Amino acid sequence: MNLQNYLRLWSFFAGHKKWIVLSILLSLVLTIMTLVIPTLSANLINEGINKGDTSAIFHYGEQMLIAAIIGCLAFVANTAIAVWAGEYAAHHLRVAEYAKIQTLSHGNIDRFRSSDLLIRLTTDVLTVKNATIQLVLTFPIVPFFLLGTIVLISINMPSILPITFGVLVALALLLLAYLVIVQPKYITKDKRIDEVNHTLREALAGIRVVKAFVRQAHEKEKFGSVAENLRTAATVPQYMLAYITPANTLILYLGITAIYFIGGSQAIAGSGMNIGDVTAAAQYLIFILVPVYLLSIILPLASSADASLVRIFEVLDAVPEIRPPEKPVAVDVGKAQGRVVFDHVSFGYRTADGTAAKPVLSDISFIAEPGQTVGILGATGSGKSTLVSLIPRFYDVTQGRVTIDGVDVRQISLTDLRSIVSICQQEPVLFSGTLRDTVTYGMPGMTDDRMHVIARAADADSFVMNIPDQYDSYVARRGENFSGGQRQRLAIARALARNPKVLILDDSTSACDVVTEAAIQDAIGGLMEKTTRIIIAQRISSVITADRILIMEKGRIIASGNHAELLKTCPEYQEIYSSQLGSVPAAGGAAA
Amino acid sequence: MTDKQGAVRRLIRYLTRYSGKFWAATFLMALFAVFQAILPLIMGTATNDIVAGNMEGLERSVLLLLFFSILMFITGMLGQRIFAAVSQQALCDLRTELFDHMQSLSLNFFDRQPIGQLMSRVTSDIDVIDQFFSNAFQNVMQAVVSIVVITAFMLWLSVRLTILVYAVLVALSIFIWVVSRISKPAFSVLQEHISTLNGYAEEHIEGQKVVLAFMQEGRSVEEFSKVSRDAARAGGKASFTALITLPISITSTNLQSVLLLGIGGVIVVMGRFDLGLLVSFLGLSRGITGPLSHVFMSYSMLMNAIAGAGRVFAILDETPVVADRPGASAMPKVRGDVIFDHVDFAYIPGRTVLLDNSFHAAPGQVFGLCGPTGAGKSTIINILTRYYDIQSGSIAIDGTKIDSVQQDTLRIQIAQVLQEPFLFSDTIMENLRYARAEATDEECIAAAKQAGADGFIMAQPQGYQTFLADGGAGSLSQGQRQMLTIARAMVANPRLLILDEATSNVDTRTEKLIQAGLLQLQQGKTSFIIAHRLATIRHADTILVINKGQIIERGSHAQLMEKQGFYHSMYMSQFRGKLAGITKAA
Ligand SMILES: Nc1ncnc2c1ncn2[C@@H]1O[C@H](COP(=O)(O)OP(=O)(O)OP(=O)(O)O)[C@@H](O)[C@H]1O
Ligand SMILES: Nc1ncnc2c1ncn2[C@@H]1O[C@H](COP(=O)(O)OP(=O)(O)OP(=O)(O)O)[C@@H](O)[C@H]1O
Ligand SMILES: [Mg+2]
Ligand SMILES: [Mg+2]
Repeated sequence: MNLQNYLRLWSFFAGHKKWIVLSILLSLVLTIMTLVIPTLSANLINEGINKGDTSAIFHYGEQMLIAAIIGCLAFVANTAIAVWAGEYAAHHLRVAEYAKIQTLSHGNIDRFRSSDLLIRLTTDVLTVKNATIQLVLTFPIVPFFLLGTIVLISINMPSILPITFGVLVALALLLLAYLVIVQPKYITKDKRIDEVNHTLREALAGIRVVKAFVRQAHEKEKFGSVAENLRTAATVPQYMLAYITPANTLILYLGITAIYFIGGSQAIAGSGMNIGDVTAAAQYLIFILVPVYLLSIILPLASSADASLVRIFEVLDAVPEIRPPEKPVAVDVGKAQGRVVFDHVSFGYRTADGTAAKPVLSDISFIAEPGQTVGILGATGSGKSTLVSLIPRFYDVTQGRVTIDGVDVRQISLTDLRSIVSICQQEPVLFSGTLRDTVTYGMPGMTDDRMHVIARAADADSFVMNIPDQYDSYVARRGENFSGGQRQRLAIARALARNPKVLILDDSTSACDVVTEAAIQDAIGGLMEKTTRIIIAQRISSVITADRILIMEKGRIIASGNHAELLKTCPEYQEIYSSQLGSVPAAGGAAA
Repeated sequence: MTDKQGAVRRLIRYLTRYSGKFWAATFLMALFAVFQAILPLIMGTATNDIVAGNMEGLERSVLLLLFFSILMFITGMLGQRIFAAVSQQALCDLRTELFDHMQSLSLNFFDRQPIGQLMSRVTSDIDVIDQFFSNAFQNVMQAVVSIVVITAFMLWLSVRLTILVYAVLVALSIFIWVVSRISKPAFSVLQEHISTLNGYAEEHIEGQKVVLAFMQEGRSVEEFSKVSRDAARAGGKASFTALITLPISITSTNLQSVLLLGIGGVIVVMGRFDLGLLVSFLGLSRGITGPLSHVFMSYSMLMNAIAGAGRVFAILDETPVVADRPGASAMPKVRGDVIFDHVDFAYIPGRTVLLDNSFHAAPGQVFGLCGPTGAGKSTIINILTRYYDIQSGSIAIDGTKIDSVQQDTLRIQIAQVLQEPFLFSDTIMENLRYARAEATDEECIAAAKQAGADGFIMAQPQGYQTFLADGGAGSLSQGQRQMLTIARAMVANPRLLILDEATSNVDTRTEKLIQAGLLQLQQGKTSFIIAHRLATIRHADTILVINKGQIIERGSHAQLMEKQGFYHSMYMSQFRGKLAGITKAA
């Protein structure tokens, strides 16, 4: 375990540390009250009942009552503080982590993996919360109680000190065994739980594929085996605990037996202890068990929380791959032209260990003028999506530079840059919510009129208006209750809503029919005349009217020009053309 | 209430399945509780021996103490071990049963239920059942045994003092009961907030790249912060009400001592009974209050478990909407004669998606489907593979109605490439083999080559053994993922082939490569190909043009072009404006 992590957690309580101090004081009060009650009850018996003194009975009864109530209040108040501290820590860690994740770049996310980030944000925070509650609630009690009991014994009954220490050592050894042997088994169990969750998630997310290939039996077997592993992993620590919990009680009773035997013999012989001492000594031994028992609850929690804190702080300490410029060049977003220039750009994704991998783009140069449409065609995996992701700086170039209106994108503040550039990504991820939320995602508070205009341009308005609830209809997670083409059109509308200076559509109409696609393109042209448009596509028809078409292969631009030019000069383009639209028209015809 | 009892009984049945072990564990744990209750009684007799100066008696008592402590250890250890084994086995059974059942449910079940929610059935709901099994169940059992043993002993000692103890106990119980009632709703509220929180986090971390692109980080953090704060508030309430039971039970024990000593002490002073008896009762009554407060603490756990079990059983009781008829036979080997006869279909009753569709595909034919988005093309595939049952009309393959055979035997003969390319987080090789478990590595590689995917697969760090984290979302291009799903379908070697926009993200030149492979695969098999890129289906024997849920045109490419109808205008629009003229001239 690493104290550093807890110190850092402690720093989250800045400004609220007084509550923790108060909690420690309350623990002290609680300990004193708990220890004082048996003494009072002994007095009640000895001085009240034994001597037949009713007023003494009431006197000590009253004191016991007061002590019990003060102890109860202190305990309840401390519980409130502990719960508050746990939730406070959870909330602040969670929000800090989430905020951090939202600033991370694509490269960071690729390496962290979103599924793993999710665990760090939920399960790990929960572990820290539970540990915090228990730590605040019981940790201060342990030393107080231990000290208090030992002091009491030393004052009242020094003769049982050796037995006390014997019991204490035995219990401590047992606790140590627990921490060393049992605790790691719980970590294994947590891993098995993660496996079960992972298998489950995959099988549910891919249920269509499972059914399509009739692999239920396979999934069943897979789940059966991870569930079986979990069963074993969960049973092992319980088997061990089955020794430890009764062993605690056994040790305690052995101590008590010893006291009865030794103390009892003394009492009968009339030397050393008397009967009152023997019963009191038994009570003290039970008290000794309390701090050990508490530790056996706290320490395992604390050590798993430590592991969780490490994982949480890893996220908090991650450095976004994309650094905002230190001295951003002032750009007037409203007046930006949107002239995009790639100047000898090369790029390669970094591998999981952070080292640079082989280049995906090499030596890319082109210019997209304001108001122009640039089409990008190219083989699967040739780097089209990669290329456009460099414009809004999802990744940074490894060589060369990308400029907008002559300014390197690395020198424009990210807010300005991403207000200028709007991208409709290849895989349209829609969030759950209403259709209105979906379309206006980037521009909350947009007027309905504007929304209709935008949706019409993306050809989404017509089908939306045909649904009973129209823009108030519910969109399920990832938009699963809409057809592929409908999802794409919603995603386009979402991108248009930002009214960008540079609009990027990454294969955004692949699931739309040609008529729809043509309508969308024309509408966008009308709506955003001055916007630079970069359109990635697989269909000739998507780029046929573009001012310039780039043909990509293996990370390079192998040809560029407009449709007519390419048809004349570029064999690859001719091939694509003929395979999609039939034989290439004669050279003369194309020029017409 | 009967509902809750039903849930509890059904839960217990998962334990009693292993009846030998279960009863053995129960017996041992009952013995354990008996010994635990007896030990303070022996301490009492030891005290009496000391008071009486009976050394022999003390020695006997001490030996008994030793003996019973060891017995308690042995029975406790064995009982807990066996019970742990039984309860973990029961949980494992419940998990796998739930999983198997979910898999058997039809797609419309998954349309309704977000994955996150289904996940929490198998995870957090089973967790609360686990807590109930491993804590609450044992606590309650031990408490019952202790209370019975101790009460019997108390009655034997003094009926009147027993009544006094019980009067105090009843008062305290009412108090604890009230508190535990208040705490109940806090947990279900918390459960709701937690699933909202997890849902939000999951969606927005998965879609983080979109959040970033649209610069909604600030808003998203704000929204998350709100959700998180709500969860923290609800969590605070729930934890507080759960934890408060501890101080209350301790205070109850203390209050009980005060009352017993106060009232009892006065009675002793009045000379009604002696001090030794009172002190013994003081110890005994603690032996009851302790376990009793455990029971009350278990109460909220029990409530959680019941709620969780209720949700789990609700899924287990769900019947698949698309079910095999009793005694349905296996689908004979498919030749590929597909007949749609006046088929109507709606996902949601009343909102018709397909209306009165009929067509006939002869074995070996290639059918192309095209039409505007949302027309119902994917839906036709969904009902042909019987993911959903149709409302009226009939679908027959080789003259056998598809709803009269076992669905699995039908689907296993159909290879599909779905519109959404889904890959598992596994190696590329295992993803390919997914289509057919017994396919060899060589067959998978051959299929990948046929699908034109070999090239980029070999360029991956570990070739075919490369692990696709998050289903390849972070490391493959969209088209590459589609190609893997095509290769996967090729591994299947089916009787019927369905491609739903399988090459929409693939460039034409790669597509040509794939199509050469597909052509081989299609030999003699009926295929359905959906595509917006009309070139993909130009060579189909028959093209069905679908609009607004109806087949509005059918025929070969040439026939449809000649007809100058919907298809023709779709086709021509590919050339867009000025260029349309050129091609006509050509
Ligand atoms: N699971 C579902 N639940 C409810 N409605 C659905 C579901 N799936 C699709 N729909 C609706 O059914 C209609 C037909 O959808 P379908 O997916 O068949 O269209 P499609 O022709 O495949 O379109 P695309 O070319 O865009 O993929 C659409 O209006 C769609 O919104
Ligand atoms: N996040 C990533 N990490 C590592 N490699 C990646 C990542 N994304 C893509 N690649 C690889 O980079 C290459 C280019 O991918 P990119 O997505 O740019 O292709 P594309 O031209 O858009 O293809 P498609 O037409 O299929 O969408 C591919 O070989 C792909 O495997
Ligand atoms: Mg791409
Ligand atoms: Mg579809």
